[in-house]
Parts: sequence; structure tokens; C-alpha cells
Amino acid sequence: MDVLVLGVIQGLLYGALAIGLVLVYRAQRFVNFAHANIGVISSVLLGKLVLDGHVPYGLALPLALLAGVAVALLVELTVIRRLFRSPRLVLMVASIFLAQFLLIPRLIRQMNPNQQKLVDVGYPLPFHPSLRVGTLILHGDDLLILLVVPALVAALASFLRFTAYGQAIRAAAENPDAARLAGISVKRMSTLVWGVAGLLSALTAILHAPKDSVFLVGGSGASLLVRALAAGLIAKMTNLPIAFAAGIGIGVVESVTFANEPSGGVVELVVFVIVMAALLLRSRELSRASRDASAGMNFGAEPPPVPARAAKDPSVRRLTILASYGCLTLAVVAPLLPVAGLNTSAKTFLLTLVTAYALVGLSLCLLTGWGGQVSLGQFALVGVGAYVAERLAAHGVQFWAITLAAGLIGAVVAVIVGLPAIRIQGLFLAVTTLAFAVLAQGFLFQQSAIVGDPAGVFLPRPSILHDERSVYWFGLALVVISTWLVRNFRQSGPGRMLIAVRDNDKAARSSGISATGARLVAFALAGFIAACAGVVYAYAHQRYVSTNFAPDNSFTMVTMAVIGGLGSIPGALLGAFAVFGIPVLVRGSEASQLIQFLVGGAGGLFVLLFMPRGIAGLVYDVRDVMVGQVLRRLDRLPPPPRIVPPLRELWAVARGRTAVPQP
Amino acid sequence: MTDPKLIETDPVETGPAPKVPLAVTDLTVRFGGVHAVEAVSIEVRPGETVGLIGSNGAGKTTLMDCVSGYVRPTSGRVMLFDDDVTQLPPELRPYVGLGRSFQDARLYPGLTVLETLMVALERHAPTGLLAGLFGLGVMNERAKHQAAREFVELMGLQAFEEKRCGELSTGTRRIVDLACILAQQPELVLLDEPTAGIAQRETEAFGPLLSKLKEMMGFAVLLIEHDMPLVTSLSDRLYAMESGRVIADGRPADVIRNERVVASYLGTTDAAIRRSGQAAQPRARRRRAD
Repeated sequence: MDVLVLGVIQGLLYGALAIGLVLVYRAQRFVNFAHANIGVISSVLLGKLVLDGHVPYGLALPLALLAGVAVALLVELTVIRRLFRSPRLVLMVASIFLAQFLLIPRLIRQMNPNQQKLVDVGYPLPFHPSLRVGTLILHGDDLLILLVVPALVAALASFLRFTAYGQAIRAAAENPDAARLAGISVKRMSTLVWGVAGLLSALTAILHAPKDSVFLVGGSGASLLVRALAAGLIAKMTNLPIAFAAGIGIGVVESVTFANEPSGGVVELVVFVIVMAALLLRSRELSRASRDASAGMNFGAEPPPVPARAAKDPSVRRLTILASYGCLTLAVVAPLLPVAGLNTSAKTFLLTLVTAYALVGLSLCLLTGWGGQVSLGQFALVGVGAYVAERLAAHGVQFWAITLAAGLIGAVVAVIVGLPAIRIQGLFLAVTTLAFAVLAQGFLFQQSAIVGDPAGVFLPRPSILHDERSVYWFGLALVVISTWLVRNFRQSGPGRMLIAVRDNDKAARSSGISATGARLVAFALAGFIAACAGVVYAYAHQRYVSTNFAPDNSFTMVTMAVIGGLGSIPGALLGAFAVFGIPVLVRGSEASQLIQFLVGGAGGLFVLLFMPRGIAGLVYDVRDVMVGQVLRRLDRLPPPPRIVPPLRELWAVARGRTAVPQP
Repeated sequence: MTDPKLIETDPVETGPAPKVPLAVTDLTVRFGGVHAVEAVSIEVRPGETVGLIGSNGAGKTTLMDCVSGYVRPTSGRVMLFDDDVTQLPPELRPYVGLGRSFQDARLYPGLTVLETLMVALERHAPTGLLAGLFGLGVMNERAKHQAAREFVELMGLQAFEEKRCGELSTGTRRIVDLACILAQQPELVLLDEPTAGIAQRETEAFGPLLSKLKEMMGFAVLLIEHDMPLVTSLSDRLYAMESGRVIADGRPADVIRNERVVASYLGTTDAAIRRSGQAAQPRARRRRAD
């Protein structure tokens, strides 16, 4: 009974969040990963006003709620409107960056209420009664949730059902074009929806704040988001009452599970299973709903090819060789340079991490850039690789064998996480990968049977990797090999097939290409490379704990990939260098602050809004100017004679080979 | 799940009695309560061009989706080259000899024309994953590249070979689409409105082009087309559909005079039928709503 009541209280919060997610999804057809975080500023503000500013609760609450609405409206006006006609994938990625950006109170300590007061007095509440239900004592925070959330949901429901605005919102969501013809401003409705969502988010955050410090200090609320998403998915992302009920249900299931099995994060496993089940059972409806959205999964960072006749020109060749080998040489000698203290072991350690991030960038280039599948769990795969390395190193396995084994295990795990991709396309796959990231941190990396000691074990380095410098070169070698493999992949049949499936899976299938196969290959390769990054990470740190592989880091990886330019190999490497490498070059103490700012969502948002092709786009623009000059020079020369073998012969050859292969 | 006999069948070396490219028997498709296709039987004989006409929503594209495997029929059978493929997934049907174009001719916006053709050639000269990763399939890739260049030359696409499909005009994309179908070397080609969204002049050029390609490769064609002069001049036989049923079939001249066809699809005047017969005067770009 106690367990049920607690579950319902928790579930009410999930339900309220799920309603906000569904509202925005219905209006704009994308999963708003920033929803939970919109209210963060409100909850922080309320605490600050009441605890530090001694403002009465009754006055601070409306101010905080207004702040939530203001944040949501600002987001709508600055980001959502600008991307109104963009592919839904871009909107979703934008919301991921927003989610990070809105955690800005974490960066600026002054915004937070006094931590000591927070511990002594507790988060402010309007009243402090406690109610005895059987053996259970309900405190003010619980009662507040029990009172406010149902009232709020009822108010929202009647607003949507009975007011003209509510009808207009529903009309604009069902069919924007028809609504526009009927004289409804779809943009104004979008603003209205975001305002309501902001209010919901602010209230949820304020109600949640006394129960958990998630909104205030630590984590990202990713686990909260996954539960709300699960509730939304059960409701097909359309039905508000079902979403709310499902949220309560998930709260109860969680509470019951926790009461029976409090250790080891079994709760996370249950939530993961619920998400997967909801996705698979609802796959038909969800896929249909997002069919128009799944088109255009291309970020467009991949450059147009250099015309063949220009590529053959010696000057272009020289330039390509100079650029690539020049960068490689610089990278090799970097830890020997006495510049910016690069030859110290502390800086070399940071450079080693850059190679690990570059590997993750390559894996995202392949999976998201070419495969069109957004992964929010890529850093969890790095964690898988790291833990495999730890376990095998303890048994004295050679480092190259460890790398290979970690890669293979990473590939297998990635394929398992990617399995829903067979039935679900595009946007919703991001939800499974996010659920996996939460599962990995909360459950997988807590199992001592799997990872040894969750608190981390010392990882002995082999003699060949005895110092920071040799570990760095090991990481760099993996980057070079992976770059070569990924480039070969793109330039051969399997890579073309992957892009064909991303762009138009129906046409690809009628050319005899297995869409499922192509996607799973992408997951396997990306998982392999990410797990190799984990091995580098493990050797660099020698000791680490599961918090290193928090879902937050996976978000950061997506940001990095977009900043570099998704879908371009140089972009993947440049992204890792720009986000993690440049801060190493500047002075040490400020480096971490700069990283925080760059990858805290602000950099990603900027790139998405103003230079969607990323840094790689700039590089290619310069390249295209140079290629243009070469082409103009070539045009002045007489064209070389072209030798074309007669078509009839080709037909004969082609026909002769037409033995139908086994599928 | 696949009958091995079916895979080994080589449609090129047909025996004395040529196999029937397409035989659809009693096909019914229901989406919920809607009968998209109702007890339809059609046949395409070797070397034949068969036209499929009917107003929007008559079930033409659903029927074609059944033939290429994207829609599972509620009941009925689809036979390709005398093999029952009703349960075969779409990506295996090209191996039986099927090629298909789509109404939107979207192709792959992120790939260049040459790459698109190489994707179509992949079936005949596949590069394995490991060979691709380690750069071992170079000869294979080079052969595909060369073959793709041949198709570019054949269709006169040299100016576009390094352009992305996303940058091409609809008309050019349709030509690339056709080139891809040829590259697959199918024995039966399904064309879903191959002239939708292209200029009238190009529509008129399409007829002779298709005839020439048919002569070269000897495939059979099932064609959905709204341009009556084109479809009547190309087709050996016509099927007319209405509300999921075949309401008339036979020689084009007979079908377009059939009372029910005239009433449900062509309208009562001769204007639609003769329209591009008198296309001497230039016409503006014509687009279709679907």
C-alpha cells in the first residue's frame, strides 16, 4: 500500500512530463528532449528567491512559473521558429543541445541557491504538514504533488477541449495546412503550445525539486526523461490521457520493483524493457506518424565530390597529400612539442582523450551521418569497451587482443540496441539509444559480475604502453586505422548502400538491397569503433568509475559531431579537435571552462542555426574555390581523347556475369 | 524462407516455353475496412507492354506495391516468372528479375548519379563488407564504376554524372531512374507514372526511348500512366481499374472506347484522349497533383 502511494506520487510527475512531451510532439512532430530541462531555471530561481532573497513563497512561485513560460517562449522564438521547415531530425538534435544549454545553472554557481541552506532548511515549500496514511508519513512535498498535478492536468484538459484556443491547437496539430486555410496561425499556436509546455515543465521541476537534487546540481535528468518518454510512447505520442495514466503506471511499477529489489539499478532494467516494448508494440503507429519526418535525415555536411578530372590534376593531388600528411605528422609529434606544455604528461593525457573522442566522432559520422540513425548512447558503448578492457587486462591479455575483443563486444551490443531499427525508423530510435545510455549507467555498469568493481579497478598498462606518450600514439594509431576503414567503407558498395537506404529505403530495396542488413552493419561498425575508443579511454585513465559514462557524455558526443560536420570524415576529426583539442592548447585552468561552454549546447545550437554543415563546411568551401581555379585552368587546355569501349561488348560481359547470387 | 529453386532460376536462359513474367491471380488488399484492391487478376506475357489506367485511388499503385512486395495482399497470388513470390520480401524480388520505378523518382538525394548507378549494379557485382572495409574489392569497384559510366553514356547523362541526385530536375531524375532499372537488367519492369512531373516535350520523347530500350533488352513492361496517347501507343494491352477492380481489359483501342472506362476515368469528351496527339503547339510545363 505504501509502495503504491509512493509510486503514484512519483508517477504523477512522469505523467505531467509525458503530457508536455506529447503536446509538443503533436504540434511539431518531434521528440522534445529539452522538455524536462526547460523548468530547471524556474526551480533554481524559486529556491534562490526564497532561500537567499527571503521572498515569500506566494510571490516567488508566480515569478518562477513566469520564468518557465518565458524560457519556453524564448526557445520557441529563437530556435524552433528558425527551424520550422527543417527536417524533424534537425529539430530533435536542436532540442538535445537545448537540453544541455538549459543546464546552465550547473556552470554558473551564482545562479544556485546557497547549498548549505538547501541542506539545512530544504527546498522551499508552501506548507509543512505531514499526513499519516497507515505506516506511511506523507510530507509537504508529496501532498503538493498529489494536489497540484491532478488539478493542473484537469485544467489543461478543459483548456484544450472547451476553449477556442484549445481547439485551434488541436486543429493545427492534426493538419497544419488545413488549419492555416481555416485562418488559424500555425506559428501562433506553436508559441501557445510552447508556453503551456513551459508552464508544465516549470511546475514539474518545482514539484520535483524537494524530492531529488537532479534538477539542481548533478545529473541531467536523463533517467527522468526516459520514463516520461516511455509513457509518451505508450500513448503513441498523441493521446494525452493515456500518456498521463501511463506515467502513473510507470511510477507504480518502478516503486514496486524498487521495493522488491532495491540494489543494482534493476529499476533501470525494467524501464528499459518498458521503452523497448512500447516502441516495438507501437512501431506501426509511430512509424506512420513519423514517415514524413524520416525523410531528409541528411545533415548535408558531406561535400560534393571533386570532379574526376580535377582530382587527377597534380596540383590537387599535391594539396590533398600535403594537407592530410601534414596534419598526421603534426598529430604524431604533438606530445614531443614544447609548445603550450604539450610535452608534459598531463597535457599528453588530455591529447589521448582527444583521440578517443575522435574515434567516437568517426563512429557517429558513419551511424548518424551516413546511416541517418541518431544515437544518444554512443558514450555508453565507450563504457562497454572500457569495461571489457579492464576485465581482460586483469587476466593478462595482450593489448591488441583486448582492442579487438572490446570492438567485437561493442559491435554486438550496438546491434542489440539497434535491433528496433528494423521496425522503427529515424527519430524514435534516439529514444532506445537514450534508454540504453541510462540503462548502462544505472544497471549494466553497476553489476559487479559484469564490470568487476563498479567503483573502478586499477588497469595495468602493458610495457609497450608504459607512459602517457605511448598511450597517445596507440590512440592515434587507432584513429588512423579507423579513418582508413571508414573511408574505404564510404567508397565501396556497403557504404553506398547505407546512404541509399537512408535516403530512400523503398527504392534501395527494389534494387535488391536489404535495408535491415545495411542498418545493422552501420550499428555494428559504429559500435566497434566506439568500443575501441573505450579501450583508449581505459588505458589513459587506468582507473575510472561508471559515472564517466553518464548519458550526458553521449549528448556531448552528438554536439561534437554536429560542430565538426556530420557525415564528413574530416568533419568528425575536426569536431573532436575543435571541441576537446583546442582547449588543451590554451592555458590549463580555463580549458575545462571553455570545453564546458563549447559543448554545453551553446556551440551546438550556434552551429545548427548558422552553419549547419559545421566546421567541415568551411573547409570544403575553401577547397571548392581552389578546385574551381583548377577546373578553369583545365578548361583552357584541350580535352584528352576519350576511349569508350563499345557498349555491345559491355552488354556481353554483363550478361555473362548475370549468374544470380544467393541472397 | 526462400525457395532455393526460385533463386537459382536464371530468367535469361528461358527454355522453349518462355516463362510468364507476371501473373496476378485473385489479388485482394484490404487496409482496415477499405478494399484497395479487390479480386484482381492480371497477366504480363513475355516481351509485352501492358498499361494500367484508372483514376486516382483506383488501386493501381497498391497493385504495383503488391507485385514488388511492399504491400502484403490479404489474399491472392503473385507469380513472377512462374514462381510464387507472394511471401517474398521486396529486396529479394530483383533476384527473380523484377525492376521498378517509383512515382516520385526521388532516388538517393545524397548520392551522385554515378554512385546511384553503382548501387543499382551492386546486385550483379556485390562488394562484401570486409572487402569494402579493407579496400580489397578494388577491381570489383572499378568494374562497377566503368559499367556505371557506360550507362551514363547510353542515356546521355555525362553532364550530370558527378552531380548529386538531390540537385537534379525531375526530368533528369526520371532518366537516371530508368538508367538504374536498366543497370539491374530486369526481365520485367514496373513503371509507376514515368512521365509525372516532366514537361510535355520530354513526355513525348519518352515513348520512343522506352521502345528502343525494350528492343535492346527484351524486357516486359507493366506501366501506370495518365497520358492516354502515350499509354495507348506503347501498350500491347490495357487494364482499366476503378475502385480496386479491373473493369476492362484488352487492346488499347477497345479499352478506351469501353463505356465504363469512358464514364469513370476518361470523361465523355474526346479531348483527353486526343490531347497530346495534337502536341504540335508547345505546351507549358505540366504537373500532376499526385
